[in-house]
Amino acid sequence: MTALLETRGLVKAFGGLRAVDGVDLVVEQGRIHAVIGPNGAGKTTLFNVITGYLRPTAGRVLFRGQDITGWPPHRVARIGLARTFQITNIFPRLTVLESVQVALAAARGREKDPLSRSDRTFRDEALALLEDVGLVGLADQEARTLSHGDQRALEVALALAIGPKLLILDEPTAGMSPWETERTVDLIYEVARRRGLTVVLCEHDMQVVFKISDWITVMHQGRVIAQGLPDQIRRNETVIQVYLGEQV
Amino acid sequence: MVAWPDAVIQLLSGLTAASTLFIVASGLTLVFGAMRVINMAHGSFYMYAAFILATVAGGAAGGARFWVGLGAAVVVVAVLGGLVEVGVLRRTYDKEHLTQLLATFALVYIFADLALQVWGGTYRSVSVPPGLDGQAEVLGRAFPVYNFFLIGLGIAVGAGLWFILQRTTLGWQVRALVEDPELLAAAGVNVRRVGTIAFIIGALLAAVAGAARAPGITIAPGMDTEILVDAFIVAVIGGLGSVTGAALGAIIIGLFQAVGVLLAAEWSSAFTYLAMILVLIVRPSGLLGIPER
Repeated sequence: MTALLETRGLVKAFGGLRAVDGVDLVVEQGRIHAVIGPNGAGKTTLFNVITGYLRPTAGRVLFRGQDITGWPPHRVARIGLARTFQITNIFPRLTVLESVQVALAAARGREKDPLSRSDRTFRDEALALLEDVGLVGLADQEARTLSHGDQRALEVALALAIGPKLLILDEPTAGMSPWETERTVDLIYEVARRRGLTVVLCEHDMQVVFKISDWITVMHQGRVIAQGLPDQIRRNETVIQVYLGEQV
Repeated sequence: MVAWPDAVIQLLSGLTAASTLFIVASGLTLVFGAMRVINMAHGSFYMYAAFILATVAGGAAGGARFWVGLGAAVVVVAVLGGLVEVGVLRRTYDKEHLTQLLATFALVYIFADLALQVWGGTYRSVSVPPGLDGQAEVLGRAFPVYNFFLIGLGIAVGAGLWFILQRTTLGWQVRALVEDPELLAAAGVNVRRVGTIAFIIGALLAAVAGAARAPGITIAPGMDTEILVDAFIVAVIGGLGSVTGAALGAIIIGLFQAVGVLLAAEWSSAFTYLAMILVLIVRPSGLLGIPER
């Protein structure tokens, strides 16, 4: 097994609060890897540090063996580490197709040629991506008019546009109806398998977590308190005590 | 009663004023639209362009050097804009809006004092470039050819901006920047670079307006804040952040001022504010503005 992503002794402190407190995370190639834990456990902060939105206080982030600690978000994205956000992030007033074309253009370095005609730029590839996430019929809609589930699918399409090796999903099913949740989970699973993507996701819905994960890391108060196969986690005493207790 | 040929001339004058107002205001609104920054120093860019043009092409010997001066003005101000964004504004993005406002407001004073040092407090003028001087005959009345040039320039700038914003990758990135800089970065776009480019385009628009308007006005200290107020009114009427709105706002203000001159010359500047009040009563976010969430 090779580690695609690795953090070593990662710390992020806000004043006196150590939101991430010495996390060693190893994400193996090809896995769907869930990071779970109670609210405030530091999961989102961990993702923000890995993807360059926050600078770590200490520790290192390695992606495919390369030290990417402290890189700005766009550089992290360009080496193949894509992410979505906890709160749905889309470009509300761009059309669905335009949004994906922006991401494709950025990923392929067309940023260097800023006056390239955008309407012809990567149109076919953008449509193919939308086909993959089931949004091709909504290509010309403004993104803000989409349903919550469709906006999530668009986010996944945007993340895929950069051609990632690793996809980090921050609570992909937050605020979704059971039907939308199922659809989104299927989409993630499908896309990951088809493209051989490694996925790291943070999720509160334990049914989702145990259904799709190959590996689970449990965080509590900024630290990793357990990791292992889903069955091991389900039976882990500490995990049941601090987190799973009331749910399983 | 006003004879109708005079009314047409007045209308054309209104459109001439609207054209310059639009070019200045479009820069202001573009920067706000992309970065949510109100650049108080926008008027300083306008004034600098006029002064640079006057330095290169001013006085009696001017004339043919007009275009060289215009080019120099645009280039120098664009560089200045880049320096302001990288050197000053970039440090304020994670601060409150008030900090940004104060920072750009400080720049207004710094630029004004610097201008006094470099150019002194005297008035300057630039003559209309050869080929665009003289009068055209409209319905038996005389109307300056140069004003037609200004109207055409406004239309050209508007069309150019529309094309860039709607049809190029840079334009999409500028539009996406204001909506979600985080997501844009996650897509692999260097958001700081897009911000700098947007700001430079904004400065460039102020420069084009300042240089193009220079013939026929007195170039003097104080024109920076004067144009800033007008541009701000235009941008607010149109809806801050909307370039199309700025075009509408400019036409409304231009025409209100022109009509105002006909009806009550000494009250003409009051008509500007009257127009703003009327629009904001009906649409508090401006004609094409989007209410803040």
